[in-house]
Amino acid sequence: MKEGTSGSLSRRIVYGILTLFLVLGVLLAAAELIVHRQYVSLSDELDERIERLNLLQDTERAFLETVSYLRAYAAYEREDLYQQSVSSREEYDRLFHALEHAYAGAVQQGLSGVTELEGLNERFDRYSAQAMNLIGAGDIAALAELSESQGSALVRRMETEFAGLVDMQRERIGDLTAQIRTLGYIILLVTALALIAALGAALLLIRYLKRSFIQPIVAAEAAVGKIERGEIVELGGSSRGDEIGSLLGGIGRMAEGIRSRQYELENNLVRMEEQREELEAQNDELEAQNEQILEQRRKLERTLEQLTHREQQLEAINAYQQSLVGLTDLGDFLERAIGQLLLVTGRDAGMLVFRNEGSKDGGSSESGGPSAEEETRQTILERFGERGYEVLYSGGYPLSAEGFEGEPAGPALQAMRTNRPVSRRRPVSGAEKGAHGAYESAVDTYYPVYDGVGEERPAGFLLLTLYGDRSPEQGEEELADGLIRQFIGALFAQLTQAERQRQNREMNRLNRALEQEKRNLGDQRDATQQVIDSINEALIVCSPQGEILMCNRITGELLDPTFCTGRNFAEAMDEMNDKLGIVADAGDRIRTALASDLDGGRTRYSFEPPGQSARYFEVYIRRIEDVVWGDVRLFVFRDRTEEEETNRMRDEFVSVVSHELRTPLASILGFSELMLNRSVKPEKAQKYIGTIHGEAKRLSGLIGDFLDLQRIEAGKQNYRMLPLDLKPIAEDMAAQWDGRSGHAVRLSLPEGVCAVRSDGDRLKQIFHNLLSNAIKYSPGKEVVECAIRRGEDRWIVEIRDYGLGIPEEAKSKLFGKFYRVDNSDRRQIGGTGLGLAIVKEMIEDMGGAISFDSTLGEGSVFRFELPMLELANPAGAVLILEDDESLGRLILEAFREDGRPAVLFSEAEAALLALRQSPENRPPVLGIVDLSLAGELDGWDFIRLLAGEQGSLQIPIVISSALDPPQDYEEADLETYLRKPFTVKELLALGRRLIEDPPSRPALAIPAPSEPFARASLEQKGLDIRQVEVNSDFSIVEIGSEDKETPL
Amino acid sequence: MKKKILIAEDEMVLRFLLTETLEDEGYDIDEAEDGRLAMDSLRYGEYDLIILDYMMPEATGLEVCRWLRSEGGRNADKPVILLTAKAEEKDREQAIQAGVTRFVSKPFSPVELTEIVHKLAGEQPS
Repeated sequence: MKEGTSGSLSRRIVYGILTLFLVLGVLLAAAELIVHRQYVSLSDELDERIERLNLLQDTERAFLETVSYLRAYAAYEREDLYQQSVSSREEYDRLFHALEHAYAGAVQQGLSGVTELEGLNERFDRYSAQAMNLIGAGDIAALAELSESQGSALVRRMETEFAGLVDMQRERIGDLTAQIRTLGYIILLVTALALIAALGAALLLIRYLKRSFIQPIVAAEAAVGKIERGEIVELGGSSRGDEIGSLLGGIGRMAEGIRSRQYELENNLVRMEEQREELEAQNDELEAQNEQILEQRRKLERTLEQLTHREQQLEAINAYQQSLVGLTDLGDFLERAIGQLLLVTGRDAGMLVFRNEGSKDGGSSESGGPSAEEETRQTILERFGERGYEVLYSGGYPLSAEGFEGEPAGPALQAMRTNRPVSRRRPVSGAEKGAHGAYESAVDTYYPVYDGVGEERPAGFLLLTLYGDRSPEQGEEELADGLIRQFIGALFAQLTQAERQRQNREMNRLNRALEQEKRNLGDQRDATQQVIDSINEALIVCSPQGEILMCNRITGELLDPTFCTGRNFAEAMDEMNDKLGIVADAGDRIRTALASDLDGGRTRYSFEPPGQSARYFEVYIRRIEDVVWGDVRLFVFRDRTEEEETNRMRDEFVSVVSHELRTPLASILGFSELMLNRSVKPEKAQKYIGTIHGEAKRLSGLIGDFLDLQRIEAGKQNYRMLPLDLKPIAEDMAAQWDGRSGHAVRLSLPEGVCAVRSDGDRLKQIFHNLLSNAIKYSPGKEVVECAIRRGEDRWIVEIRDYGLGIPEEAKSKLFGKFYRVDNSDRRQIGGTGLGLAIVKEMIEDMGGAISFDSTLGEGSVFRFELPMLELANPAGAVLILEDDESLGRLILEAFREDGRPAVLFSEAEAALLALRQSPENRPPVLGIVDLSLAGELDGWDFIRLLAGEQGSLQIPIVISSALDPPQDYEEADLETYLRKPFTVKELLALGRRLIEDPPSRPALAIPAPSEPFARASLEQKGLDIRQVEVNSDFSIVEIGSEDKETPL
Repeated sequence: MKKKILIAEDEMVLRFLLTETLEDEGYDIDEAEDGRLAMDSLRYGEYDLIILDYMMPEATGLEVCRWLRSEGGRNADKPVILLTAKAEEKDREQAIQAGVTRFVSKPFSPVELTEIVHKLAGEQPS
């Protein structure tokens, strides 16, 4: 590693170590590889040799066995020995072949003695074959000879050969083993060498590191230490290119820097020493100066103290002077300014009095306040004897100023007359003494003051009072005079300003009043405008030249926003027409109207923008003489679009009706005329009359429908809404239509009762119309269907046909008047075109709804719904039939309180439906029946229907109301007759008796106290009487014919 | 040779009445149930007189007449009777312009109609 070639220290170290260990590793690996390969070949050979040795030994053993068995066979000629020799021989042959095979490689190399053995073996084969033959022949002698001549020697040779081969192999194995051992030593040696080499390398490395890095770092550390101690150092090795080199270089430079700094510092130190000496000298000087300054300051403080008093005085004057300006309110001004004046002039009390003139009354009320001032004012008035002076300000005096007694002219008047201040000393009054301590006298000074009106004459005076005996000092007096003069001047200015402010206020008041007036006027105008805007007619006021002076809001909505104040009316109209694409001469018509100066004219105007629905107007024109506008024209546009529409519809209706009526009429008239004027054959006459009849019927139906519709639309159709069952109506109507025009009507009805509240006759009409439509519009079909289904809270009736169906465009108009699906096919069908309109109106009037579904060519289904009628269940209960609701509730509650279930109906129809709805085997236990009821049926009808054909009752019944008076009944008894015959209590008792202790068969309890009466009443109602039991005020009657037996 | 008349009327009974009235008078009658069918008949047949109802589906009598006068071929100058209801009288002016020869308003008298037909068809039929 050369110095300076590689900059980075760490990299050099890493490279060095890596290279060292890489070299060592490669060497070690090479050695290991060589030794290993040697070892592998040696051990392979060893294995081979051992295997061959074993084989040799086995072959030898097998050979010896063969020979010995052969010999034994020769000796004993035993067959088994022969067999054994043969098997041994086979074994031997096998092994020998294996041996040959094992040695095959070696033979080729000519390395072994196997070749010789093979030769011997062949000879042995031959020999043994000979021997066998001899033994077989029993020629022992020849055998012995053979054995002598060849055998023994051969065998020995072979043994010797085997032994030789075995020895050879053993020897070789021994060699190999020795070689392997040697290899083991070599491996150990290599490892040891590697370790030694690594150790050496590590030592070299450490030495290198020590020399290259640690020594310089230690030197650097020592150098740094020296530098710290301030010694001078010289560092070598800074020529190195690596980090240490730069580190050492840095340290060296640092040391140099420090050395030069140190030198500088030493120089500075010397200089500073010099400066310090200089400063000390200066300091002495300064201390001396300081003494002087302190002395001066003490002097100044003394001066300042002297000045402060003066300053305070000046401050007070300043405050006073500030108080003279900047205040706008006179009261505030006087309060502040006189207060400050008293302070700065050293006076104790002050008062300002002004002449009170009419125009200045505002001032007094503003400055006035507590009653003390009122008193002072009184005092002054007394003093001056002149009304018309008032106190604007008073401060510092006791509440009552008794001490002001004196000359009426007094010093005040004197001051005012002379126009100069006047001073007077006077004794203080009692009250003043209380307020101002022990002063015996006081000095009053009066100063004349002037008001803002600009007169030269004083308008009042200012009184300042100093309590005590002292007189003001001469200087102070002058100052006070100056300050007072300032006050008088400021007061003058203030009064002038106050006057101006007063005038301003007045002006403002007038302005406000004016504004209020304007607002009132504006409100009135707004109200008027609002009224005009809320009118439904468009109003346009314009000048005779056509300029729009005013128009109301609705104008923009009805016509167009083009019309607005300031436009020319006719031009705006033209512009609107252009804009909306209307071709009209409206603009010219307006010009003409304006030019012709017409008043009270009216005309019609239709506003027909293309693509929009037209609007129709009636236009009134009026001439108005107005104060503001002068001579103007008023145009009123009244929207009569709705009228127009109504008219159009009426015309259309009339036209349609007349057309519809004319067709049957024409036929009737035509055929009858033919018959009257021509001789018609009988069969033809028959046909004509048939046609006339049909058309007359059609006409009659048309008129009937038309009147129906008119009546319904006018709300004059009366409906008798009663509880009823839809089912029998559907059944009746289906039966009526079944089989007509070849159509069967297929009915599909739910179980039980379909109770609704409706008008039965109208319902029949509805069924009739819908069924006839279904049949008419399904020509050639065999069936129409009528079904009733249960909806959530309503019954739904569906009438379905499989006929022509309704075209899409007809669907929306289907329920309209005179609408018939309009194609030639259908014109054959006839009908008035009013049927569906009537049906819809009637169903909706009865609280239902109608709709339809239809597919063209497949048929239609019309579906109407009516609300379900909920009926109480009377099974096992007391059934109360009473139209007076409160009485009914009373009876109901009475039975319920008695622990018996009870239900209440006000109509016999509802009760009958409820009975049909409830299970057959649980009838009510009792009926309480009022004779007059809310529905069509009365109590007798109910009883009759309940009794059925046999006329006998299934349940006991109490009639709760009075019977009709028999014709011969005396009028005197009418009174008792009319009242309800039973009280609720009596009804309950009677009911209980009939339930708990019933007569032999269900009976009727009637309020007839005599048998003839009961008999007469019942027979009049068509009921047979079987037996009567008369009680005090009622009879119990069994009804039903004697001869008929009731099936119970 | 019988005179031939086309009757266009959507109401079956009226068609029946007209046919009965005129057949007995010896005319040969063709019937059409609406305006379109009437035009079809006029296109292929030849008639001495045409009776049109005013209000018919597909095309009104007025429309048929207008068409007949402009494109009717050999029938173009044949007399036309228009059957009208009162409400349609206001269109009389228009109808004359369309080329209607006579108006007969409903309900009509078969006897009067027969006379009109005789007159317009030009001769007394046999």
